Amino acid sequence: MTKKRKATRRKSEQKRGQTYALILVCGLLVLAGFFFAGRQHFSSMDYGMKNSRLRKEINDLESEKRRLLLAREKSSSPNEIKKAAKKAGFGDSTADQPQMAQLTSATKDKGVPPTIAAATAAAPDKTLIVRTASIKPVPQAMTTALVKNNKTASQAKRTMSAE
Amino acid sequence: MKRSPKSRKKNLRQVAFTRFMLIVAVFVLWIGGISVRLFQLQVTQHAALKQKAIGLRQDVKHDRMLRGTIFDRNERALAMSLPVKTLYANPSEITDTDAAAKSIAKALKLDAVQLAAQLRLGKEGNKKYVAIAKKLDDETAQKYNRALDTADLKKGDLPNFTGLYWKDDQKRSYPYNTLAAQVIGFSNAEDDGKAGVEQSQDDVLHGALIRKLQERDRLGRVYDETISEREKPSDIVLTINSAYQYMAEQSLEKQVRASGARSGMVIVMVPKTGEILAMANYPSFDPNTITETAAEHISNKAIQSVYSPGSVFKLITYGSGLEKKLFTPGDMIDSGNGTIMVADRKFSDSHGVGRVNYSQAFALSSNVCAIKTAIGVGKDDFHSLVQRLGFGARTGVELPGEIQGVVRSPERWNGDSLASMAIGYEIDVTALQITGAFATIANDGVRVQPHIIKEIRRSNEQPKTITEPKQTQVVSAQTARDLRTMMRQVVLTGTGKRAQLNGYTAAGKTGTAWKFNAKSKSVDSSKYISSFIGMAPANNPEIVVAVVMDEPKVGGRDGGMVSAPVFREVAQQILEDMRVAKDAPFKQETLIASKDIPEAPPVDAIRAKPGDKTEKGTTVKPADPADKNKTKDIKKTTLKKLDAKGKMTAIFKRRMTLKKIAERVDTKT
Repeated sequence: MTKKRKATRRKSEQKRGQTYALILVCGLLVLAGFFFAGRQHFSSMDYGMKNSRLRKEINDLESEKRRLLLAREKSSSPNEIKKAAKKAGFGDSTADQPQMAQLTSATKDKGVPPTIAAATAAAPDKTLIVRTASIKPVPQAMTTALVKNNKTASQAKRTMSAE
Repeated sequence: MKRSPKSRKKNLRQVAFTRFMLIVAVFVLWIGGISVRLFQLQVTQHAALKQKAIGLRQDVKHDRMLRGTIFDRNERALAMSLPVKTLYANPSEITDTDAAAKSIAKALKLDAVQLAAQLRLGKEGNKKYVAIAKKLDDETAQKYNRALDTADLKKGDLPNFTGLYWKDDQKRSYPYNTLAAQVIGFSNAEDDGKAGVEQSQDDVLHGALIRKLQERDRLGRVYDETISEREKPSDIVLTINSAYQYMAEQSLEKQVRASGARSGMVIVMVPKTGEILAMANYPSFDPNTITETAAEHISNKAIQSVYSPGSVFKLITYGSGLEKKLFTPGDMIDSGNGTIMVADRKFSDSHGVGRVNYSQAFALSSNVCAIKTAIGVGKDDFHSLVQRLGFGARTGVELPGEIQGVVRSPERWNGDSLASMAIGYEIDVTALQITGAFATIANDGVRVQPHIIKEIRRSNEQPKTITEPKQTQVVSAQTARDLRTMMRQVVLTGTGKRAQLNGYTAAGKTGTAWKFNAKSKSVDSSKYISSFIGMAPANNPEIVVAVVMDEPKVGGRDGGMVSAPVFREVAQQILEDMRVAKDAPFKQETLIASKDIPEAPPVDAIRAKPGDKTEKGTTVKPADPADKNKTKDIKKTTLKKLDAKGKMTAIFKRRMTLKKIAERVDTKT
């Protein structure tokens, strides 16, 4: 009887041990699941934040691209070019109008107002080019630079002709 | 009296049971309490709490997509939107409005009293949006963020100041300022197009409203964002060439100022395609500073104002005579004594032309011959041609507010209406309509609908080209060719001599029309509309240029004097830029600064001296004496009396020699 009891107790203890082990494994699984889910959750949040930052960065870069494009357009607008030309010493200080070269017939034309006709007629030598774009006196520094350039150009020409 | 063990055991059980029940009761009460509370929270207060939770976690933002860009035909951005930021306050989050207003005003250099009043008013009205600083660029926004930073505050968004937020906004910018302002138009602060292409294409350009759903953590950081997908607004490519537009505007402005005109307009059109390359108005406006602009400068007069075209309309009258085969350009026509009576009204020529051929009559802009032609053609046929050429109807150009002009039906004409219409009165046209009519003649009688939009495109998509413009044969190709030959005579020997181009043949017609005075209900002979509409090269026109000046006051006021030079300047530059093959010999011409055109320029000022800088950046060299002598020799030769054939040879030789000289001078400079 005692032997039988002992065997039964051993069996039940074994079963209990197995049950505890199973509970432990299940608990560990659940814990691992929770841990995994938590990790996933926080990593998804982290990715979301990174994503949001990157999206913002894309938007910022696109805005910057637009700003640069606009700046390029502004800088190539006639007004800006005029300003830059003025800074560089070109342009007209007397009038705000650009002085574009204009073709005027030198032949006598009844339609031409007397002023222009007189002006062209009064010209003693009919030089073909009378005046071009800029009539503003060029600053001294600029003139010197131009003279230098012209000298270089004429020297180059001479060299070429010598060759 | 000892209790029996049995009763003691029973007693203990009783106690244990009682205790157990007590514990159960406590648990039941506890769980019951929790359940009641849970029921209260999850059932009765469900909606409110859910809303509160969403409010804490989620943030919904409504942003408008950036408005589409307007480009010229060479992809230069004429109008584009930039993202900017607007600083606003949510007064419900600010406890002490006065203190907050003081701090904000100090940081942003604003009026503290006014700001406090604004915030207080917002708080009282339970408003959640009170704008503080509108449409700031990124740099300024960052400056403000630094100024508003509160050290002891932790906030997910910038600026780090309680109750202040940034809202994404946009600002329209026009980098070329006044260039093509009437064509491009402008949009208001709410991103609605209010004039020009901005208005007519608002549906395409307008940025859709997008909804951003942001999930935030407890620190306010965005960890998830859902954006509602919306179609991006399209970009528009115009047919306008900004370089030609600039040329046209500059020439126009210069001439309007020189002639003291009220306003002026220039249209440059490609007759074969109907593309408008330039549409200039002066005075103009800057869409960037629209609030400072006078309202009358905003309208595009080329399509929104009408005028009596005057002699320019004789193209249609003489064309009707050719189309009906009443005349050929060589047929003789007699203008008699230069007057004609129609329905007891006397019409006369400004100068008698006598008996001339049809082409000469047109070149000299004879009113009498025009009226005779119209009478010969008849009311109905004349009216029909006028209509077929597009008068009295909108051209259909993609610009807002186009008016159709006034062409009365023949039933409503007076006895002298046909005669008046023949010389360009009793009819009101827009500059674009008359340009379209000339373009029809330039295109061998085929009318192409004028258009200003080249393509509409979406990003990452193939451009959607605008459907081919309508083409209609209005007059025969022969009539168109004859008319071009006649218009060539106008430029060579007639009223439009000042429209002659260098190296290109030009054809056109001048027009000087008296303006209608609404008060006296008759024409006012002191106010003119002076116009010149021409095309070049004459035989195969690549461009049609229309120049219309309103009330020129200084100097010669007729179309040949005021408008033809603008045509010449614009057409010459454009044709050269388009690299159109030259079809006329190079004439002896003088390059003078355009500024010197007005009266009495000092001779020295217009003549270049050796060493002066030329347009190409080189210096002018002293004239070659050999060249000078050659010119003199040629002159001597031409002065000799020659027979007709010899004269022609001499002229031809002279032209060839001059061309060579000019080429030599050109290479030297």
